[in-house]
Amino acid sequence: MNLGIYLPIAGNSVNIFLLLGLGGAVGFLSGLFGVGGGFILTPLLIMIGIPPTIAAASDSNQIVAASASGTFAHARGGTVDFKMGIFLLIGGMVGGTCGVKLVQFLRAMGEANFVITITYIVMLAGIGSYMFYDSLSSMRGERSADSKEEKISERPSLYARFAGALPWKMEFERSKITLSALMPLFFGVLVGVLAAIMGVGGGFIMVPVMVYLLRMPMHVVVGTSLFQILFTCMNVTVMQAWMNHTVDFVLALILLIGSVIGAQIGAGVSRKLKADQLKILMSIIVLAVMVKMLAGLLITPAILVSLKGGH
Amino acid sequence: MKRLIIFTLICVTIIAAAETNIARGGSEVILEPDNISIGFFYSGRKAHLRTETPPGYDVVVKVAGPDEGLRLKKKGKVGGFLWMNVGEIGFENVPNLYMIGSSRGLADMLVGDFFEREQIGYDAINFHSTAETEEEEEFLFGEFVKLKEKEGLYSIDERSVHHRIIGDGNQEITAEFDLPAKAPLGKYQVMVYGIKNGDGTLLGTGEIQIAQSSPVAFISSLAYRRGLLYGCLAVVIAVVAGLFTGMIFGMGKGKAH
Repeated sequence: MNLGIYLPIAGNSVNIFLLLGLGGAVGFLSGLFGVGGGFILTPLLIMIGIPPTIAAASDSNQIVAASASGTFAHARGGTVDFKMGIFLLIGGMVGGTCGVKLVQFLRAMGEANFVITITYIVMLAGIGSYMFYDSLSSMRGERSADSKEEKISERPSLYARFAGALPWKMEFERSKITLSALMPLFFGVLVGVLAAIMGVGGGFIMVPVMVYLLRMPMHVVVGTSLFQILFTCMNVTVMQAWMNHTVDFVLALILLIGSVIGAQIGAGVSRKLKADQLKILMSIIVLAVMVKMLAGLLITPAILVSLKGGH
Repeated sequence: MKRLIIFTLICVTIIAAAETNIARGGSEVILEPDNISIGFFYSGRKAHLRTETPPGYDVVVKVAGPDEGLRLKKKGKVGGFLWMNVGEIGFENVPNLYMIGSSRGLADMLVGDFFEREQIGYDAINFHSTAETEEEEEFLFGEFVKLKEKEGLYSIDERSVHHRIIGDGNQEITAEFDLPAKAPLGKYQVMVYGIKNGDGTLLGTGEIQIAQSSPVAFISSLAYRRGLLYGCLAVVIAVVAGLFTGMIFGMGKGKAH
């Protein structure tokens, strides 16, 4: 029985159940953690023979479906902070545009690939390790002791004092926090720049930023991140299809059938898990991606050339 | 006079028809299929070749696509231990698909410069590159061939052509080629060479065409000619699919907060 499906833009045939399975697994992660999943799916698609540019662009298209499905599921559960999401989105759009310019500048300077890759690995290692340590400590009950000490000292950190001194304070009801509107805008720009440099949606950077720097509750973080990713990936899909003709809709359609179902299951599981459990799982995935990237840099490749056009 | 003109026209038509079926070198090359249509469930095709040659020939079959130019990223060590992209190399005049089949090892057939002239064997491909030295060119071309072999677009199989003597003393030649799903659209030249007493000759040629079927061609055409519309449609369908699934899953859970 022929299980291969021909992808008109990729110009290749791939087993349909393999694509459904990949889409389902990544959709599950998307619904669970509020990440787009592009940083995992794009390399997997390249591994099964999809040209890199088409893998990245078609992945964005399927993330639109998964994040729409996930956002809808979270919105029904009341765990999307739309107000915060819009501020982050505006910052992300500005940051993404600046990031593209920065990449052009780095390329002109030479050694850009080296700088970008090392930045990526260091960031993943830092974020992953901190999240892992933090959630592990919290699960062991150390955190409650720390919190008590903090209350006793009643001396907020330098970061908290700085954040408190910023103007244009605003209440974000859904997240139950009050902070300056400049903060989500600033972090949106920062993540947008990093996402453009790394060539990914940025969900796996945005989630830790929301948790640790914006101090949003974990369950609101997941839904809000998905809301932001939805609009970012809609923009990327249209631009890639228009400018580069690299969106394979047949590929995206099969992936999205798997991913929308996976995203719903992920969102359901996300509501049942505790915040620390979610964080520790997320940190393991971030660290696994970091190890995979590091191994890719250290192990001698089987073929010492690759087609131009990938990441 | 009228009859003479009609007779001449009939003769010309018959000769022209024969030209299309009987190859340049004389032997008729039958390819099955010679016209491949790509539908949504296409995952590559096996092409069968059959022809007849005079006895005593070793046979080499070459299937080659049009020449193309492409740019590749070179990988090298940075800082002594990190494998990264360290530059680019361009290759010109390399076939987009290149398959060689033969009835015995190419190195065992002593044919002077015949293989070089007919570009039989990877070493005989007449390409140009942007490499700075000959050593670099040779090494990177080897890596390029490995990449193409991995994609199924290049191959050399020295035992894939079979021959047997048939009734009239001629030999029947048969061969099979796996055309991968990744083979670019277009026409592929099939050349059948005979090698005898250290001398090579072209025995026949054929052609295989790969084209997209109407529904696949429609999607390709929309993507390349109306990219903005295609992108917007892709987004709308993705959002609708996502929301629809969200609603289906949400229905079983009752009303949300």
